[in-house]
Amino acid sequence: MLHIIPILREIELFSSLQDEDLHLIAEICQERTYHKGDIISSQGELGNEVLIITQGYVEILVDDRRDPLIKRIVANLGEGQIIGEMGLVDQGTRSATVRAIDEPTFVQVIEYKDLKQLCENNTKIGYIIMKNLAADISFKLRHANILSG
Amino acid sequence: MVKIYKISYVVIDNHHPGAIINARQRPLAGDIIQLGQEQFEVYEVLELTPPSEGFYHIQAKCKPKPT
Repeated sequence: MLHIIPILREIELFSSLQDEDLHLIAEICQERTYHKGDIISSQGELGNEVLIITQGYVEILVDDRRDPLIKRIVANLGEGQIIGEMGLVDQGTRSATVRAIDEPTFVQVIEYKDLKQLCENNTKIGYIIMKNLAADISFKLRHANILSG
Repeated sequence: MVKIYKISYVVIDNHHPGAIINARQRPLAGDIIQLGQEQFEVYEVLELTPPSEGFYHIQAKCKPKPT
């Protein structure tokens, strides 16, 4: 998995980590490919992994409050963005459905248990990742606030 | 260090939910961008938060591409 080190270096979740830290991250990553229209995760299901988009584009859909059969697009995410980060910190179910809309869409997948174990075993890595994760959630919140303002 | 621009594209006065994408180039006013099926024109670019470790946090306000 060493070939993904340059990719990880361009993901903000891992910024400030040293090369030896990125090697540890690479060891717990798995590449997955999605095709246009594929559902990557579904709202309400219990997630157990963080996904990082390395190529492609996805749309984030939420069930309409009045009619759950209707889904509303609330955001689009592209290269470098993270999916499933909320479940990592709050253990809640998926807050939205994620659908690939680019052909192909590549993601790196990290299971929560592997990431948590790495963060607990190496608290320097853990601190940096959690700080970056908070910054990412903050960025998404600013994006959403401007749209709803 | 490579500069990465984490861009929040916000479409003003439109149903489109915008997008968040990393890019290697800073967007500029006048750029035409593709978000999903639609094209938009960037008309304002702001720094959303201070840069950190080579990552620049940018907001690009967009409007539907003029026909």
